[in-house]
Amino acid sequence: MFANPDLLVSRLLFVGLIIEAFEVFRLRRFFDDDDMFSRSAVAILTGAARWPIRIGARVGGSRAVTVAMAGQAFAAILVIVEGTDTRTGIFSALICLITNGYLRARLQIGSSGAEQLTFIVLVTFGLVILAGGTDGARRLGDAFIAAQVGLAYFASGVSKVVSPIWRKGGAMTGILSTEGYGISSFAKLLARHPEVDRLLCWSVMGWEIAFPLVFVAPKLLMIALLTMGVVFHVFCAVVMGLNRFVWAFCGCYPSVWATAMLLR
Amino acid sequence: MNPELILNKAVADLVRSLHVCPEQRDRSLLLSSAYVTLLSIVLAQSRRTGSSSIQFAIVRTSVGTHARCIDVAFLSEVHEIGDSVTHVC
Repeated sequence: MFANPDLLVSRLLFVGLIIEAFEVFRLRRFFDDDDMFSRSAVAILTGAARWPIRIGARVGGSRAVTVAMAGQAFAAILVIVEGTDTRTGIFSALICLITNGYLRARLQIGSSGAEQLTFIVLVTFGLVILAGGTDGARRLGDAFIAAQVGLAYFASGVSKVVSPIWRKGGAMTGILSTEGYGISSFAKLLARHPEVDRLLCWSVMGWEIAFPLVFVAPKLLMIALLTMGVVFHVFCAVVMGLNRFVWAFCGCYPSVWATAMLLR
Repeated sequence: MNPELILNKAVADLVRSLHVCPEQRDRSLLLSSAYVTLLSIVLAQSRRTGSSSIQFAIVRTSVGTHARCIDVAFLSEVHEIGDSVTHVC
């Protein structure tokens, strides 16, 4: 991702930043006073937080958030066009780091793992540039992101395995029955065929726990694990509406690939 | 694009904070930042003039295998409100 900036797949994460900008733009009125993400509401949540968070949470209403998201969308487009190895691309990616950091401080609630991973990648990129942006620094940045992704999948898989509803099956039906994350017709289908639910549950758990093997497995298995990841995230995007995870996690696969190749 | 997901997740985050210690359902919950934030959001909504008190509920809904199910996940206390009060800070 950082070590191979010429590859288009190394820029997938920035597609997610454009989508985020448009999503937040659609929600801009919620940043007005007296609404869900108003400064007063967010100030309550950050009362005990460190000072940079407290300041970020209280700066700017809907207009400031709109400007920040417009800047993020524009900067992310530039990164997609330029890559992260040109002066314009580097500067644009750092703009994304600033706007995304501001949004995280200003939003406080409503973020998912996709936003967390995206911010971690942007901070890592900032550190890579701070370290001189050399090949070594970029490879180290890739290794950190790859380890982060491997750990995220593994931890998620283990947390599911210890849950009886995931082991026995039924978790997928439960999730897809919710109004926020579900498609009722699919939930009904799974309820009629619990064995399919159990199969899906164990497929997800097995793949997540096995994911760290990408770093040591033969190339064919590595490609299979990454392909399963793409299928999993696209499925979650289509069925559950978790669109940002595709760009955040699959956007980090170039780092996983580069690190796995380095370890061979 | 799915901006509704951010709103749903925001409410879910606040509700999860309320349920971190379900055994601590004493009045100290009223001082938690999640409760105060939810109350602040509810107070900011337009309401019938002349209202003297306010109470909110968080309901869990599902559209699974049967008809739409709704159950109350959390019920707030009743809070008296005056005409001049519009924010909780």
